[in-house]
Amino acid sequence: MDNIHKSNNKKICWWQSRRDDVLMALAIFLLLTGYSFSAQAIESKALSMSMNQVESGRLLFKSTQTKSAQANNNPIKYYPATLLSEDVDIVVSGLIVTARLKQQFKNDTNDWLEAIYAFPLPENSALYLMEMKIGERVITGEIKEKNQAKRIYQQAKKAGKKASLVEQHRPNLFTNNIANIPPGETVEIILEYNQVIDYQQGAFELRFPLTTTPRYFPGQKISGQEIAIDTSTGWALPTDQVPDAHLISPLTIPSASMAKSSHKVRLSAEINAGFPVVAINSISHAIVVQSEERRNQNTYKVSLKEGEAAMDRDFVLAWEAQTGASPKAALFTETWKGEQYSLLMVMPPQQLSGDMTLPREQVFVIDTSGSMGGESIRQARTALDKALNSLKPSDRFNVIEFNSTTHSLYSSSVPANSRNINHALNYVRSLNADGGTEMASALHAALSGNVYPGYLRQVVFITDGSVGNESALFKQIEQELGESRLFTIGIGSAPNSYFMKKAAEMGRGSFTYISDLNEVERKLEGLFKKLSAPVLSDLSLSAGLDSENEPFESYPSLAGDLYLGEPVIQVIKHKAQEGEQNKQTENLKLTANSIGLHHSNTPLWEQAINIAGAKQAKGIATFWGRQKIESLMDAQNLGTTNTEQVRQQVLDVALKHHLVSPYTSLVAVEKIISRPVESILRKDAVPQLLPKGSSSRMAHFPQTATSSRLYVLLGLICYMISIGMLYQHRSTASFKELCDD
Amino acid sequence: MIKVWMLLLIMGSVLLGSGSYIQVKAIAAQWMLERAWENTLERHSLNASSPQKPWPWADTWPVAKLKLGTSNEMIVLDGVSGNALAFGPGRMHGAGQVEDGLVVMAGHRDTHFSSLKALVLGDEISIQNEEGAWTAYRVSDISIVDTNTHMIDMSVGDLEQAQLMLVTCYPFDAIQVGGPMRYVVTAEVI
Repeated sequence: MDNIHKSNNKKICWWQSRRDDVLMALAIFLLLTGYSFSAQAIESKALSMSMNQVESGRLLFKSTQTKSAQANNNPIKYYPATLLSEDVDIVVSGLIVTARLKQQFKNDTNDWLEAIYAFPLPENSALYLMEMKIGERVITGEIKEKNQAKRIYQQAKKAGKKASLVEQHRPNLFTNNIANIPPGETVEIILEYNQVIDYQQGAFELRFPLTTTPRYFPGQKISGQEIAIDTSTGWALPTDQVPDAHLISPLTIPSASMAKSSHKVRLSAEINAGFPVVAINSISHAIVVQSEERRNQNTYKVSLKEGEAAMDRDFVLAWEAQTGASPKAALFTETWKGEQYSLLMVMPPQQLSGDMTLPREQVFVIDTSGSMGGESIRQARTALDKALNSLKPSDRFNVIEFNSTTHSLYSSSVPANSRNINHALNYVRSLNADGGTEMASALHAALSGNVYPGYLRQVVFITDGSVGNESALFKQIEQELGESRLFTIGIGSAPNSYFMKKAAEMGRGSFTYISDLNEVERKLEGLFKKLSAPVLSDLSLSAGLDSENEPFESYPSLAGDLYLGEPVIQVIKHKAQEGEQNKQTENLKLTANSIGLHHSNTPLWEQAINIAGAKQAKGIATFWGRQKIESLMDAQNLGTTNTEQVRQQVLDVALKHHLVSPYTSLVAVEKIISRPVESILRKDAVPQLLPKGSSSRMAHFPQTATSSRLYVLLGLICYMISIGMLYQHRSTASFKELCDD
Repeated sequence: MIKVWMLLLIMGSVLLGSGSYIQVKAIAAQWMLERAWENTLERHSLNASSPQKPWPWADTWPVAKLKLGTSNEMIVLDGVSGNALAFGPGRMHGAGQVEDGLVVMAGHRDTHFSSLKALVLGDEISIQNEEGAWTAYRVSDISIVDTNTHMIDMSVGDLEQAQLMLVTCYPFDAIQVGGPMRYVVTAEVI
C-alpha cells in the first residue's frame, strides 16, 4: 500500500517538474495560433471582397475588360491607339558603333492618326539619317533648321500628306512625329546613328536605351500664360526651370498593363572588333551568340533568345578583349568631302609611377526620390553598403540623402572608424524612396564647404538622374566643384545617362552604370580602383610643332582628369595643308603633365602616334560633327559664350554633317495627299513602358494600417494566459505537499 | 512557475502599452500639429512660406487641414511615409494642388482615417490650404480596390473637375497589417 502510494507520488512529482515547460510551450502555441488564425480569417475575408466588390474608380487605371477578368487577377490592360514595334540592328566595327532602328507605327483605330513618340537614344549618338517607309516607297528625310523643319511638317500635316519629323530635346531624348497614318495602316520610320563604343578597364559595353525613367521637373509651374501649351504629349506642365517639361514627359505604362501586341523590340548586333573577343554577355536580356570567321577575323552575331522583348529596359551588351589582346592604342581615318578625319584611342599604361595616395574624404550622396522606388533603391542601398565597407580607417566620410529635401547624416565628414560606419550602415538600410528630386541642394551640400585639409574629397553620387533641369545642374557643378571630384553611379533599368556622364565630366570624375543588383559588386570594384589610383591630368594632344596653331581641330576637350583604365578618345579633323606638301601632321603626340600629385612643366607621360598607320573606317566625320556640337553646347550651358553665336556655329556643323541637334531636325514629306480634307486627324501620344522594376507616376497605394490592434490583441492574450496560470497554480498547490514527503 | 506568469504579464503589458502608444501618439500629435498649422497660416499671411515643423526633429510638416463630414478636423502632413502617417494623414507627393488636379491623401484605418467608413455618397469634405482658403468637395464614389491590380494614375492632368482621393486600408476591423485591399473615397470639388 505504501509502495503504491510512493510510485504514484513519483509520477506526480515528474508532472510537477515538467509542468512549467509544458505550460510555457502551451502559452507560445496559443499565441502563435491566435495570431495566424486571426490573420487567416482576415485574408480570406479580403479575398472574397475582391471577387464581389472590387471596382475601379474614375482615377484608377481603368480596365476595359469585364469584372470577371479582374477576378482572375489579370493585370489591367492599356490599349494604345498606335501599336509600336521596333527592329534594331547594331554593327560594332572597331571602336565605332552604327545602329539602324526601324520604328513601326500601326494605326489601330478607324481614324486618321498623328503619332507622337518620345524615344531615347544613347547620349553620345550622332543621328544622321531618317527615312519614312510607306509600303515599298521610301522617302528620305532632310536636315533643316528646327523651326523651318517644324513648319514644313505642319504644312504637310494640314495638307493631308504623310510626314515625319525627328527632333532632339536632350542629347539622349528625341521625339518623332508621324502625321496622317491611315486607319489600320503602318508607317515605318528608319533611323541611323553612330557612336564610339564605351571601353573601360579592358571591357567594352554597348547600351541601347529602350525607355526612360520619368523625370522630375523642379520649379514653379508656368500657367496662366498667353501662349497656349500643348500638353497632350506629356504628363508634366512646363516649369520656370524646365520650360519643355511637357515635351519630355511621355506617359509610362507598366509592361504588364500594355497590350501584348505593342512595345516589342527585335534586336541584333554584330561585333567585328578587329581582335579576339571573349565573354560576350548581356545582363539585361537572354541572348544567343554565333561566331563566324571572315578573312581570318572572327565576327560575332548576337540576337535575342526570345526573338523579341518588351521595351521596358535598356539593352546592355558587354564583351572583353582576349587576355593580352586588349587594344592599347588605335587610329582610324576617313576622307569625307575632301577632308580628312581621324579617330584616336590611347589606353595609358595601367601602372603609373607616382603612386602617392592621399587619404580621402568620401561624401556619398544617395537619391531617395520617388523614381528610385522599387528595384532601384535596393541597388542603391547595396551599392552604398559596399562603398561604406570599403573605406579605410584613415579616410573620412559622410552620407547625404535627398528627395524633396536634403538630409546629411553628419554635419561634416567624420573619421571612418567602425562605430561611425556601423551607424551609417544602419542609416542607409532604413532609407526609402519617396518624393521629388531636388538635386541642386544635395549637390550644394556635397560640394560646398572647405575640403578637409590634407584630404582628397571624392563625392560619390548614386542616382537614376531622372531630372529635367540638366543644364542648370551642370552649371552648378562647374561653379561649386572647387577641389572636389564628382563620381556618378547610375542605377535602374533606364537611367538618364546623359545627365550622369556629363555631370561626372563637369565634376572631373567618372560615371559607372549599374543595371542589376548582381552587378553591384563587380562594377563598384572597378570604381574603387579608380578612386584610389593616381590620375593623369594636364593632358594635351599636339603635332609637336607650333602649339598656337595646331594643324588639326580635335574633340572632346582634354581638360578633365583621366582615371585608371579609361582611354583617351579624340576625334580629329585635319586642316588642309595649303601650298606646302610636307607632311606636317605625320606624327601626333599625346602628353600628360601631371600624374597623381606630381606636376611638371615637361610631360611625365607621353605617347607618339604615327598617322600613316591609320586604318580606314566609316562614320568618323559624322562623329566629329557630333562632338563639336556637344562641346559648343557645353560652353553655352555654362554661359561662357554668346548664345546666338553658338546657335549659328551649331547650325553650320549640323547642316554640313546632316546631324540632328538642338537647332536642327530631320523632316520627310510624301508628295501625294493621303487624307481626305473632310476626315479628322486624331493626335496620339505613344507612351513608353515603365522601366522594369521601378514604380512611378502610376503610384502604388500607401501602407495605411498600424499594428496597434495586433499589439492590443496579443497583449490581452498574454494577460488571459497569465491569469489562467495563476488560477491553475493555486488549484494545484496541494500536489506540492505530496511531493515534499 | 511564477517566472512564466510574470513574463507573460510583462509581455502583455508591453504589447498593450505599445498598442495604445500608437493610438495616443496619433491623438497627441494632432494637438502639436494644430499649433504648427496655425503658424503656417500666419507665416503665409506674411508671405514667408517656409514649412513649419511641429517639433524640431520632425521630418514632415503640415500641408493642409481636412474636415470630413461632421467629424473632427485634422491636420494633413507632407508625404505618406510611415513616419508621417503615425502623426496624421499624409498628402502624397507628385499629385496636384488643392485647387486643381488630383489630391491624394492617405491615413491609417485604425487612427485618423477610421472615420472614412462613416462617409456616404454626397457627404461634404473640406480642405484648407496653406493660404487659409477652404475648398469644398462632395463624395462622388466609394470603392474597395485591390492594390495588386490597381495603381493611382497621378498623371491625370486634364480632369474636368478637381478631385480629392482619400485612401485607407481595408477592411477597417482587420488586425493584420499589410493587406492588399484599400478603401478609396473619391470626391469632386463643388
